[in-house]
Amino acid sequence: MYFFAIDLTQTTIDGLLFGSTYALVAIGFTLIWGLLRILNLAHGVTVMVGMFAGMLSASVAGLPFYVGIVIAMAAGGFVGFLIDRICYRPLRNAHELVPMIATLGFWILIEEVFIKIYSHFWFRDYVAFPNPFDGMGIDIGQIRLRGDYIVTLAVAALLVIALYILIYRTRLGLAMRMIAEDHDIGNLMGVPVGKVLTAAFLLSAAYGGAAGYLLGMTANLAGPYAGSQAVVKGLFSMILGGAGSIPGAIVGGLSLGVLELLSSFLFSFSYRDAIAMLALFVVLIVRPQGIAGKRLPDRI
Amino acid sequence: MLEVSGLSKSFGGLLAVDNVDLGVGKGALFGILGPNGSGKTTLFNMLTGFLEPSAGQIRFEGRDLVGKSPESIVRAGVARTFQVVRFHKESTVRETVWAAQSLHLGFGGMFRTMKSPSQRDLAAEVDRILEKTWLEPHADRLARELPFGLVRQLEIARALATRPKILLMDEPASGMNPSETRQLMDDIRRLRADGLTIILIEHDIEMVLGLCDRIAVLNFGRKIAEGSADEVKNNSDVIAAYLGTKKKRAHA
Repeated sequence: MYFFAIDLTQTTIDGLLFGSTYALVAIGFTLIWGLLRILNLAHGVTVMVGMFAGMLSASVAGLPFYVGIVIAMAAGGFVGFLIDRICYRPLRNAHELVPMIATLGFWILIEEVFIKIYSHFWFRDYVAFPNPFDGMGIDIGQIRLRGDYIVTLAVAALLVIALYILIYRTRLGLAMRMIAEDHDIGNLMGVPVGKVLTAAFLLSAAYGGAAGYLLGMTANLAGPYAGSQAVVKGLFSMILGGAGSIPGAIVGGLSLGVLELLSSFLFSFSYRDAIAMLALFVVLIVRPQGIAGKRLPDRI
Repeated sequence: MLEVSGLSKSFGGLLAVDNVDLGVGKGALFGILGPNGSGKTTLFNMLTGFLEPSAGQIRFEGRDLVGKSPESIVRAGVARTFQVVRFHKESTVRETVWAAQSLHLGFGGMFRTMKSPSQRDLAAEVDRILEKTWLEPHADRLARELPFGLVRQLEIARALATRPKILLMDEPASGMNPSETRQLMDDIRRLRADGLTIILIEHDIEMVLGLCDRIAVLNFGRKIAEGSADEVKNNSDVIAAYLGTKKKRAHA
């Protein structure tokens, strides 16, 4: 019983630390959803591109962690820029479902192309993602905090703090909050709505890129399906926490991390996703607005 | 300053604004009067880029405004207030005015916080605007907590923060009690005395006649009269429109 309690605590802590990557992915979805009411299904591509950019920077170029994560964010951000220019801008006056379908197309196209490249060329030799924090960790009694998980949480926390400063302290953030409520408000105050939205795409995609780096590093692996998995986990986190709110995305991501690891620990790894999905059902029946969701006073 | 010629807007077969000409000189306080549904707000929506005209020209300081985005029209110096108040409800009064200054900044300036030293001049300007619009005691309240009369002031404050050359006011007195309306009339006179050109839309005939030095009257989308308060007051078409005499509408 004693060891079980230790293991349970250990699993929960690991889940919280690792769940911060899901929170980062969910924040990317939340920003675009809050601002544009578009489900950016291409968001997973930013995670995958960030992951491979990070992996190449670490394995091929041998760059240190902190440089790699900046490269991953830049690579992800570039994908976000493309999503804005290809999927959103030309279609912004179409029905609101049209840009979403465009992001779905973008996702499938990029992922398929990437899988072809991946399976036919040289990426296979480089999939191992070096983890500089492997084996490191802090022991507190019987509980061990894995080094790479601590770093993951630290990076995620820094990015969340930066996001909060941006959104609640700067003019850009204020413009975003106002645009989220009503695009015309932005227009009539002379806010450059198009540029602010591009900034939002870049930002959410850079966070996706960072999540990709952290996911790859902790798994020691960069895989071409990382994007699809990130879409599922990110959307799950966003809805579990409460769609459209940043605190909701964080709560949802951390909850999903704990849920996944606990269900692997208590039942079986193979039922992990099924149990997590069941939990989502239960939560949504009890609280349709999600764990931390409000009844939509503010949209991001 | 603002020249409108042959401006029309049709929705389906209905002509909401029909071949309207207007000329508003610098420093004028121009009134547009008309019963509800006479096309006043549609006219404003075209002037501010929210609607594309079906036909006609809009020139502001010699520049063509037709087809320009609302944002670039604000940048050109045309600001407006709405009849139905629209603003971000989770922001404070100060933040709302502050956000409207965005167009004075480059993109880099957007990343500054309210308290940055480089933003001091803009913050001082916000204070001045809040003072001018009686909002200073309420600066740190949430916009949604303001009483209705002050919400109107917030609309004006936000428009002023864009540093307009001309201010388009869409029924600013709607929903106000008589004493609030008198206060608003004084405020409008003061804004004009500060050098702002103003176009005022109203269906409150007394307010327009009491304030404006030139008045155009719209009915069913057409301009039926234009002139000074006295001229408009004695125009038989205007009297007919306001007393609700049935007149056959000439549809295009």
